[in-house]
Amino acid sequence: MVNKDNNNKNITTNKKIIICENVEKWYGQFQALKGITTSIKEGEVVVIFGPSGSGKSTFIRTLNRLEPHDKGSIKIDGIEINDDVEDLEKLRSNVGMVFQQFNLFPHLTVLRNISLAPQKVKNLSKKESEGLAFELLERVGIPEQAYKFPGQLSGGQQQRVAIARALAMQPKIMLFDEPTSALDPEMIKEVLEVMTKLAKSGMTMIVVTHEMGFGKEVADRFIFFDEGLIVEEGTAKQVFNNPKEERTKLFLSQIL
Amino acid sequence: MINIKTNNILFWIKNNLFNDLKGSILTVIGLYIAILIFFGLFKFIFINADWEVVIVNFRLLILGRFPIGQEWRLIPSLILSCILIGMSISIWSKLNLIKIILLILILYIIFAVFLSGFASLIIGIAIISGCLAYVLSNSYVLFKIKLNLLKKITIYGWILLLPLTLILLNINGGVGTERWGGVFLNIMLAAIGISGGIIFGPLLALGRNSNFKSIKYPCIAYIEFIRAAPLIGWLFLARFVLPTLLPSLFELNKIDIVIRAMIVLVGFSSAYIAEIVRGGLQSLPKGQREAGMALGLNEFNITWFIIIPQAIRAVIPALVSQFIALWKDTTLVYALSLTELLGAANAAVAQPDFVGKQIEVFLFIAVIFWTFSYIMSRISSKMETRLGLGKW
Ligand SMILES: Nc1ncnc2c1ncn2[C@@H]1O[C@H](COP(=O)(O)OP(=O)(O)OP(=O)(O)O)[C@@H](O)[C@H]1O
Ligand SMILES: [Mg+2]
Repeated sequence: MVNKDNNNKNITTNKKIIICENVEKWYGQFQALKGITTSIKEGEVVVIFGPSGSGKSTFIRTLNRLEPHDKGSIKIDGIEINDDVEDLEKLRSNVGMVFQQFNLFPHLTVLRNISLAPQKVKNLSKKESEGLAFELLERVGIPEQAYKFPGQLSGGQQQRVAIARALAMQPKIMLFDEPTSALDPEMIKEVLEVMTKLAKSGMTMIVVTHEMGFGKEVADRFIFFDEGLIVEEGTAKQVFNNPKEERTKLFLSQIL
Repeated sequence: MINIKTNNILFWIKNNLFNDLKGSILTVIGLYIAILIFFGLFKFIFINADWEVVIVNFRLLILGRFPIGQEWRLIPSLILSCILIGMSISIWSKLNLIKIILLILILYIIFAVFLSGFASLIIGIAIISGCLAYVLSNSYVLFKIKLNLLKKITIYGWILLLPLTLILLNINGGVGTERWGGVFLNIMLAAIGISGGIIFGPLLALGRNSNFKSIKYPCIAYIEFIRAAPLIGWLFLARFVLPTLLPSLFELNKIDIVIRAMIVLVGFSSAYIAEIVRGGLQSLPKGQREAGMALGLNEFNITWFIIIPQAIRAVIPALVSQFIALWKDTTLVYALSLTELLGAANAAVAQPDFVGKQIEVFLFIAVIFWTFSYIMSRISSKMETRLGLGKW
């Protein structure tokens, strides 16, 4: 087991690329986030875990403003994210996202799924964007599927296409919301392998997952969410071997 | 092999048609009725019927009072549509040789019986170009053309067909809409109603779903208002009420009746198509929009490349039903005393020479309506299976 504590790979700078202060979010009367304060460095890989309904998805969705937050501040790469943010589309193309349900565009080929956004947002030519798409498909290990439609692929292949699609925008940060929990067990591995490679290449990643084997291999930090709050955070050693909070202990005993 | 096959058929017949006494009785009765109808029709069509009335009035039924000598304006569109049909069948359908020969034979018989001279020559050319187009696009590989390009050409061809027809009808003096008639008028009205509906319907649907109240409420009001009255009501309104309501401002009261019918059909089909497309919009998982947003696509690109194509695919069967309904509803302009197919049929049976020949005429136009409707529903089911796979 490689523990991340002594892993000297990728945090090259100490630049904080995400800074959250007291982020709060309400759905009507219900408060889903109750003041999240944390920051993430460039190149850092963070795993978020916690019980269902604890606000993990809500939190990472505030980071690309799929959910606008109600209070507090979020800064991504130096830019404050709020209603006045000048170029929301630009911010979003800097923050890639992979969803639990893949959310591929079923009416487009794999190639087009990946090359659409580079063409429309970054004004790449068809040729350039398709070249990029093939490169990425190579990277996620399915170049031979380029001309198929998402419905013709297995779940694991679809999720790998989704990762390639997000990477095609050359984001600085990648968000993963339970990327393997809709997959059959035998396909989880192939997706985690791609993510592991990505983590080792130095990408800043925030991953909501309960795949702790994967987490222990690549994560620099674990964040435990419960009831809209960060209950505990730290390295694998700190969180798994010496959890400070009762709630963390209880939750870990249930999932491990 | 053959033995197994016949055995299978016998087995199927025994199991499905004669599995018990009740079933057997029903089968015999059903068979009897079917034979009765079949022979009745057969006898009528080939022995009793006097097709003179259709032959004499063929031009009236097809073109109405279209000026003689101006038919050339329609020839390019006719030939182009045959070519496009040939290409479309070759690209999207797997018709076998027998079916194709049968199809051509039927077409040929129809036109050999009803047409003569120049007209049959033109039809012949059109059919032959259709067949040629079919053969050529079947062997597209020989011309080093990609299938995708061929599809694109065909789709653009279909899109350009209506504008081309309209241009040819208007250049060089043109043929006024008041002279359009017969099944040609039905086809034009349906084509314009459907095309307009395809353009404005989705816009109205998006408008109705919009967050801006100043867009949303007018769209809701329009859709509900239009749907609150039957088509014939709107046609009558356009015919009799509007001219008195609208003063001679912009000469609105002088707009030709056919154009008014077109405007009404477009407005009407837009409202219905809007509601169908809105159903499609609502059926899309919200993850589709979110995935687009997360990639940094703007609202327009998300709508145009992700939402609309999927929403329309999801509702193709309902859309085609709407198109078929509109196609048949074009007969309602008969109430505006236009000589569309039904009007032409009535004019034909009113001729003193052909008293009592209604059945022949109406059977003939029924076959025309049925043919078009059937083709549309075949296209729809073809598209469903293809698009189900995500293919074009
Ligand atoms: N659109 C919404 N409207 C109302 N309540 C919502 C909405 N989205 C989330 N919630 C609520 O906010 C809380 C946090 O939801 P969230 O999806 O962030 O949880 P999660 O930690 O991701 O859970 P899971 O592990 O099940 O994905 C839940 O109680 C949920 O019911
Ligand atoms: Mg979640």
